[in-house]
Amino acid sequence: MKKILIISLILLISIPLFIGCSSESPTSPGITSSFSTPGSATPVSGQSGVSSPQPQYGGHMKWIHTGGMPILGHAIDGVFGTRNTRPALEGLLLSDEQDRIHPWLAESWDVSPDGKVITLHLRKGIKFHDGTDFNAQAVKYNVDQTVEKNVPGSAAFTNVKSIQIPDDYTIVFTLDKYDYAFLLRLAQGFLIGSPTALSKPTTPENTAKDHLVGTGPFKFDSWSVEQFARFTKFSNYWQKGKPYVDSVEVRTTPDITVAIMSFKAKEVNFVDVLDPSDAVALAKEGYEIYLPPLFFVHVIIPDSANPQSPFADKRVREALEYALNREAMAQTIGKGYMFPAYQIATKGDPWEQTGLPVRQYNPSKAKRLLAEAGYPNGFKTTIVSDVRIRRDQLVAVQTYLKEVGIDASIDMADVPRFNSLTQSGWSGLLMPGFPVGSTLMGIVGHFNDTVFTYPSRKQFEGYKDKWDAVFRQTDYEQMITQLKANLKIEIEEALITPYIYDQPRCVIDDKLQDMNWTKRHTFDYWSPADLWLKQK
Amino acid sequence: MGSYILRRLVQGLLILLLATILVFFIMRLMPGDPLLLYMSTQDIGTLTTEQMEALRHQYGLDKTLPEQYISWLGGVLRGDLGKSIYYRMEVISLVKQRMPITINLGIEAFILSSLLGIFFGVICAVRRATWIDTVFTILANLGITVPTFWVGILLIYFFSLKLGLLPTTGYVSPIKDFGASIRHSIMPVFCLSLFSIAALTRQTRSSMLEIVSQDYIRTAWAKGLSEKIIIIRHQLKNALIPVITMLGMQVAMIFGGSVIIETVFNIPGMGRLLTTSVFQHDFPVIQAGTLIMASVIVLSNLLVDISYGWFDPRIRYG
Repeated sequence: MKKILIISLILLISIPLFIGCSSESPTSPGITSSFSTPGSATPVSGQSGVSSPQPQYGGHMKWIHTGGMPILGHAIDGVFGTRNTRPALEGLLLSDEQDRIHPWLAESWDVSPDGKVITLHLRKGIKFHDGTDFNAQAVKYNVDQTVEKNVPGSAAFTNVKSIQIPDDYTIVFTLDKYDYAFLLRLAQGFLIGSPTALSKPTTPENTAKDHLVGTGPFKFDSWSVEQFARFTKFSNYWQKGKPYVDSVEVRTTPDITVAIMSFKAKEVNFVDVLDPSDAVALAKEGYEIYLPPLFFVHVIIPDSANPQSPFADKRVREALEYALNREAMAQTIGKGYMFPAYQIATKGDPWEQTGLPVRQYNPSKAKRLLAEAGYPNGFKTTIVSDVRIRRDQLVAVQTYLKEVGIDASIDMADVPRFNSLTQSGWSGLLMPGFPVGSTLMGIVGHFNDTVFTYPSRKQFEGYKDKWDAVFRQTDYEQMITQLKANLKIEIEEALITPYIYDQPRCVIDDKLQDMNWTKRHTFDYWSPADLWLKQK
Repeated sequence: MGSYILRRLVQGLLILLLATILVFFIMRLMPGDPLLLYMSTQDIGTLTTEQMEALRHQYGLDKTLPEQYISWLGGVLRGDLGKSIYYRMEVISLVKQRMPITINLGIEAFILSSLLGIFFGVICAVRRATWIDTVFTILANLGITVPTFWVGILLIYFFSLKLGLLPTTGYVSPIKDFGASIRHSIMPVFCLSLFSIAALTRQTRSSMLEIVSQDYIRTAWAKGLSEKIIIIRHQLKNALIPVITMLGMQVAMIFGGSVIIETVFNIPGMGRLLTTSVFQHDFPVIQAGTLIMASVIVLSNLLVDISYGWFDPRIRYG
């Protein structure tokens, strides 16, 4: 009897161990609709304004991300990123998938012929949640406070020479020099708060309660640090008839597994940024995987500016490209959700171009190029990466390089050290864990940043002037032409090696509609005013 | 006793000083500029070089290392733990936010692990070589070996996802909503105390078995005392010295284990704060966290040492 009891107990305890250790083998993704090639597929119905049914009122929308919520408030409180504050705050402008500018709280704008004077005409009749009027004075107050407090985002206004307010609904920015990035920044991250609220002294514990007062469709209700932020419907929202749901709640957790379990337990309607294997598993279980219209490109940057480095030779850099099997990496690592990248543009991007060298996987050619460059037996180098990278990407690149004779050791840095290396220089190959956003700001920001200057990457002749020139063009088409020209040199000279595209995959339940996550080429963007929940 | 406590407190202060010096210099000598974490590759967060230098000055990072340490130490003596680079708020505010959460869970885990660990250990010792002893010993060995984060995810899977009985994650203050607080605490507290329960069970069993063969225990049985009196008044009290030592160590383990549990269950406590700060090179928070954790461990060890005198009257401190 005792023996039976003991054996039963052991079996009982062992069962969870096996359940916990079991794993599903990946199959082809069960996505109902997706992007088959970057930028070209049909979006999920109802998820980006494509012939959706009539919105319904009511319900409480909740979603969860792993991005953290260390503080909550307005940008002047040092809050960076906007996903947690979008329900309450809005910007003057919006962008689209081609980074063209569209009106929002500013209903129109004029740009002087020399591009240095930008006049924004604001919508009338809008009130902040606390009843304060939205007007030009409110906008100027937000700008002044952002600059005065020296918070991230204040760099958007370093080019502003003066601000005038000819009337209550007109604000005139005079710039030192024209900069398209100024309008993009207004569209993609600068959100307006009530000056009455922002002028109120507060403490770090109360920045949300005191400063998160905007024109958005929802009012701040409550929050808990690193847990959730709750917002309730603002009945006096300027877009009549909206919002549709009664409340929204943004949750955060550091662990994606827990976030997925929260979704499966029907605690939330949406989870963002899934690993490809999680997306495959969820699709297999019948959940809908949402692929937003925003791509990121993973790159490798050789230390081409270092004369002692083998990568100073263009043939070696080309060999690096020929050594990589991008198609295999995209398929194996991405499990159908990633795509091979040969340029820093996705299909449909205005800066996508034909005629660029496409250095497809060819290890023989890689070896030949290495031999021509004086490395017939290859050489040793280092791949410097950071903790945000997928390990299988790193190992895949290391393996492909080994096949052609390049023996690469891996130096895995934490984020602060990695950031320092992008500022001070590195030796070998730099493989950032955080990819380059395939947007105008993402690309130009990567090549033309004033802090992360990548000094170990060779700069082509006239580099600074040519990259500065991109956003100096007052005409959109000329801007794209300049951008294309710069990217062409980068790719032709193999100064940067894009290898795969990625998307922020999400899982969404069948009730949630029109959330528009990362629409408008803005990573943190979603539209609380438009989303609604299918009622039974 | 008074002079002993004073002596130990002075020693404790020296230990704290050494710990903070070590952490201070090691963290700052590691490569990686925490201010660069302000930067966003999406450009909207980019600061100019001048703004970066202004920030560096604001956080005192442009001073020499000894100057920075002395400045920090002076601030600590005034009750100012500095300003977090990552969270951009006063460290003391962060600690006030997070510490009660970790203490709340820590105390619950400590009480649970102490009560259950000692209880199971006594049962095992009293019912030695029976099936009860075998079962609890196996469970104790499992409790020591299984990773707590895995147990946590398993609990979420069963109790939240499958049975829908408990919430997946989060923390609710018992002051705000006691019922919800209990529901949110059950799984994390269990995970936090699992290793301690197992370790205490084994230690208590072992200590009790050493005592059971003593002459005075045989005498107690011969005198006809009840089993309950013998176990509690004679065996347990004398067996608790090594158990008390282990209890003191459990305080450190519970605080350390909170890092993993707070991450799995999304609890905004000190453990998560410290983890994030280490990854972000948020020096002021790391310093403050080290100081607080070291203080807790020093004080708990002191309390353990003082309690020896109560359990064993032969132990006296001069």
